[in-house]
Formats: sequence, C-alpha cells, structure tokens
Amino acid sequence: MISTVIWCLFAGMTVMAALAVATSKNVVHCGFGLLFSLLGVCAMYVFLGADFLAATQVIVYVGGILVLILFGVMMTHRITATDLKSELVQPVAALIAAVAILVLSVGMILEQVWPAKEHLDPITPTTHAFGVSFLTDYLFPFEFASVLLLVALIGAAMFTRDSAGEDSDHV
Amino acid sequence: MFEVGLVHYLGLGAVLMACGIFTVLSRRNAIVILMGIELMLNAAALNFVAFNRYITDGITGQLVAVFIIVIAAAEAAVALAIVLTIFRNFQTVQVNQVDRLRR
Repeated sequence: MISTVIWCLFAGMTVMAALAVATSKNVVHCGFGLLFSLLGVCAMYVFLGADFLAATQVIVYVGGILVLILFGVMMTHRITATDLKSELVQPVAALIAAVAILVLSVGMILEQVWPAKEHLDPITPTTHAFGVSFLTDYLFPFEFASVLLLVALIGAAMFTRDSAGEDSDHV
Repeated sequence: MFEVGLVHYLGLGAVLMACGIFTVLSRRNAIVILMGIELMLNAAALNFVAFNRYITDGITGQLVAVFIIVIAAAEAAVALAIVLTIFRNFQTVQVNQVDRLRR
C-alpha cells in the first residue's frame, strides 16, 4: 500500500508543521510551519481527488495569504529588532482547551457510524463541474464572493493609507 | 497497512483544529493569532472535502471549500491591514497592550 505510506508522510508533515505553528516562539518559524501545513493540506486535497481545489490552495494560500502574513511579520517589527519573539502565554489553559476539543472531536468521529458510499467515484478532473456550478446553481454565492473580495480589497487599502483617519478630507 | 478512509481525514482535521485553537489561545502576537485562524479554516475545509469524497456525490463540498478559501483571503487582507494600522498607532502588535480606543 504505497499510497497509504505516502498519505502518512504528508499527514505527518501537516501535523508536525501545525505543531510548529502552535509551539514555536519565533514568528518567522511559525510562518514557515504554516507554509508546510498548508502544503500538506494541499496534498490531502490531491488524495481526495480535488484537483482544482489543490491548485487553488497553492495559489491563494501559499502564494497569497502566506506571503501577506510574512509581509505583516516584516512590517510590524522594527528592522533593528532582532528578536521576532512571540511568547506563549497561559499555555496550560490553552493546552487544556485544545486537548479537550481534540478528544471530543476524535471521540465523536470514532463513535459515529458514517454513511459510506458503495464504491468511491473515480477521480476525474473537477474543473468543468466547478465552472458549471459557479455559473448555474452557485451563481449568487459566486457573485457575492466577488463583491466581498472587492470590498475587502478596498477596505484594506483604505485602512493602510498613510493619511488614514487624519487628513482624509481629500480622497 | 490500513486503508485511508474518512475517519483519517477527519482525525487530521481535528488535529489541525486543535493546533489552531492552541495557537489562538496561547499567543499575544496578533499575526500568530491570524496564523492559528488560518489553520482552523483549513481544518474545516479539509473536512468538507473529505465528506464530499466519501459521503456525497457531486462537488458540493469542494465548492464550500473554495468559498472558505475566498473568505480566508478576504479575512487575511483586512486583518493584516488592521494589524498594520494598530502597529502604526501603538508600535506593538501584542493584543493585550492595545487597550485604548483613542490615541
């Protein structure tokens, strides 16, 4: 079962990277942990036969959001400061909450009898079905997401202008 | 070896969710908190895609995952803009030190 071994490797990478995000004290290390965690989730999408989603994950998350976050790290620490530290506060309480969520979730997952398909669909390209869905059944969410992205873009640009809040009489 | 099934993906999603929750609860740095939120969003999207593969027909779950990614992108852009503005006004991104509404 070579695919199971490869799956375990990617799952292990995802979990280790997520643990690095959760425990590393260096903000940049957290960012790179997030990178490998997102790539591991992308591999999971490939295993699940979601080709379009895997490509989107790489382009939007790794290429967009992660770069944005690393820009945020660089811009919110003084250039001269060498320590990009982020101390863990209240680790015990946070650990209790996280472990409680994990135990409850895993217990529920193992206890539940999941309905299963007789046989899995063959893995086929999904882009055609995506295109059809976006322009027929899911047209409203699609357009709504477009407007949401536009609003977020304009809002983010407005927030970070140098003159935000001060001499904003002239736009 | 075992056959990879629905429960394995759900378990992976649960672990990612727990890591995200731990990150959000145990940090004061706003940017690392954002990273934890991204982890949680990924866990949710992974669950949707796994359910889509193993339980339902069609691509409904994958469509939901695409919308989750869109929401995450918008959220990251706006949140980082807010963090940058906070940093400009307070010279810190530690969320416990940002406790004034005025300058």
